[in-house]
This record gives sequence, structure tokens and C-alpha cells, in this order.
Amino acid sequence: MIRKNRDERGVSEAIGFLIMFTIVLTGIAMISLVGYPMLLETQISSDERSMEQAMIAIQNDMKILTFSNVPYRDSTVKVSGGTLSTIDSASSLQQFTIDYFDAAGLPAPPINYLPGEIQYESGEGNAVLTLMNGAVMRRERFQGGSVMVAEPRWFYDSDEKTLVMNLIYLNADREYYETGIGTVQMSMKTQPITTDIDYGGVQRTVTVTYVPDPDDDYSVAWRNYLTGDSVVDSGFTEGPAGTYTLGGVERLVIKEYAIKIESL
Amino acid sequence: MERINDEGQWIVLMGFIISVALFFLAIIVNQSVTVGQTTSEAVIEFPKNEIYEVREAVIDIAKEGDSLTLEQDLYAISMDRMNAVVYYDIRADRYTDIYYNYDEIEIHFNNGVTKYNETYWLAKKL
Repeated sequence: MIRKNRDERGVSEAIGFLIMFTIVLTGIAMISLVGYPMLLETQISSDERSMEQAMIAIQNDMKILTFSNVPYRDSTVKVSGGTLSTIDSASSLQQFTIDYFDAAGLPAPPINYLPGEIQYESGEGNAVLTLMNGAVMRRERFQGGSVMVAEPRWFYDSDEKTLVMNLIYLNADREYYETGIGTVQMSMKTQPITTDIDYGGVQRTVTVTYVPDPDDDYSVAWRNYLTGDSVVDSGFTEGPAGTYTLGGVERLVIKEYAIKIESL
Repeated sequence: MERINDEGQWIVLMGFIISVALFFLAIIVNQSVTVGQTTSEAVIEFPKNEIYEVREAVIDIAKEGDSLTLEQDLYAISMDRMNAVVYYDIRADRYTDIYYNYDEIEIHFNNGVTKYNETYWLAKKL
């Protein structure tokens, strides 16, 4: 381009430099004030999301241990931005109670089921992810709600009117903690205890009661799971204080698996 | 005024285009992690061998003759080993043509993820 006879009056190099310098400084300030916190926020949520995936991977391992009769299983997980810990079944503060009838139609002694947990707590964020009873659940600290990320395999076969409940106990000799890259080693060396009752065509009810740990409450997740159409099309009927009842059961199968966490 | 040499402007332009393209690629890569997880899960969980075994057992029972013990054993073993609700019904000689007698076998399999129903016609030579 050839510029001829352009009027250059009022053009100052000093002011031009000042304007450019201001633009650059404003850019740097905006990035450090707005961009960096946003980046951190994204980092936290992506950590939580990748932990959600890791928890589902551990859940799948548990499925292989329990339903596919494989005695040992380990998987490497990367715990980022928080801590993974175990809670032994015996010291679990979560409790499920299952009330059912025996083959003669009399109330059977209820099963008091303490599931035990593998739990991830986000260090920077508020997310808490818990693997309990074969389900992955998520809640936010200081808030009431909870959601089920991955469901356990409880099902009702409507053709045979059979309710199948798989209870998974998690046992750990001590409390394990893990951050960074670690291996979750699990084993199942004991036979599952199977309660298989055929009511001979008579329809009975089964009641599940969930009593949560007040500091670690997943009642919303369990309510949505049980009353939704995941197990049965119309869901369990909700009663008072965390009780859920299902009628029309002609055969009830409860399998109790004990998984031992060897190390984390 | 001397000439301004602006022939290198395309380099800056290319830089912009590439950075925008990289941004979108990063979003796509981010999404793909979730997709792989769910797809592989679905493939692993399909109980092909379990269904084969149950079919085989039921068809054998139909050939050899049914009994209540066999039925109860099959239901119990299926629940124990495969974690599945299994039901079958054998109705003998439902249909006949010139060469064969046909038994109608109904097989039901449900392990909570996969539900499988089949009606199988077992041909028996007259």
C-alpha cells in the first residue's frame, strides 16, 4: 500500500504506546481476576466428573466379583482433587432393614443390613461420591439432596413376580485412605448367603427401610430409586420414616455378598 | 512515508483459526470419555453365554422328560450362578405335520439388565 500526503498531525507515538500498554495490562488483569478462578472451577468439576467415572468403574468391578463369580479384582484409579476412603460394614452408620415373610407366611426375622461404603470427598469442591450397596450416589456437602449416579441391580420380574435384591457388604480391616494414583483391590472369597423363598402363588409384601447416617444422608437418592420405575414399573410404595413396600411378590430372592477391600 | 509491509498478516490470521479449532477439538475430546464408558458397559453386560446355557438345559429337559425336581433345580442354579430369574414351560405335542411332532417350549430369562423370552418348537420324529 502506498500512502501519500497523509495528514499526520495529532498522531502521538507516546499516547499510542500508552493505549497499547493499557490494553495489555487490562488483558492480564482480566485473566487473573476472572479467567483463573473460572479455570479452577472447571478443574474441580472435571475432577469430580472423572471420579464419578472411577466410582462407576469400581462398581463394575464389584458386579464382576459378585455376579460373575470372580474371586479377585483390582483396578487402578486416579483420585484427583480429593480423598477416597473406606467405611467398614461393621462401623457403617447407614442401615437398611428388610422385612419379609417366610415360606409359611409368618413374618421372618428382618435382615439388618449395614452396607459399608467407599467414599470420595472432594477437597476443593463440595461433592461427596459414595459407593454403597452396589450403587454410586452423589451429594453436595451442606445440602440436603442426593442423586443416584449408577443404580444397584435390584429387580422385579413381572412375569414370574420375583423380587431379587442383591445386598453387598463392604468389609475393610482398617480405614484406608487414598489420594493420587492407587489400586483398589477387592476380593470375595465367601459364598453369598441366598434367601430364596417361593410363596407358592400367594402374593406377599416386602418392606425396605432405609435409615441414613444424618451426616451422610442419601435418602432422596434411595427414595427416587425405589419409588421410581427402576425396580418395578410402578415403584415401591413409600410409607412413613423411610419405609418402602412392594406387594405382589410370589418369590423373593435376597443374596448377601461380602466383599473385602484388601487395600486401597 | 515509507511502505508498510503487511504480507505476513496471514500468519496471525492462521493463528486465530487454529486456536479456535483447537478449542472445539478439546470440547469433543472431553465428551468422548463418557460415551466410551456407557457403550462398553452395555456390550459386556449382555449375558450371551448364560442364555445359551439355559436354552440348552431347557431343550435337553424337553427331550429327556420334565420333572418338578429338574425345574426347581434349574431355577435355583440359575439364580445362584447367573443371578437370573428363569422360567420355562414345555407343552408337548402342540402341533403335528406328516413327519414331526412339535413340542412348544417357552423360555424366560431375566437378570435385571437383559430380559429374554423365546418360544422354541422342538421337532420330534414320528
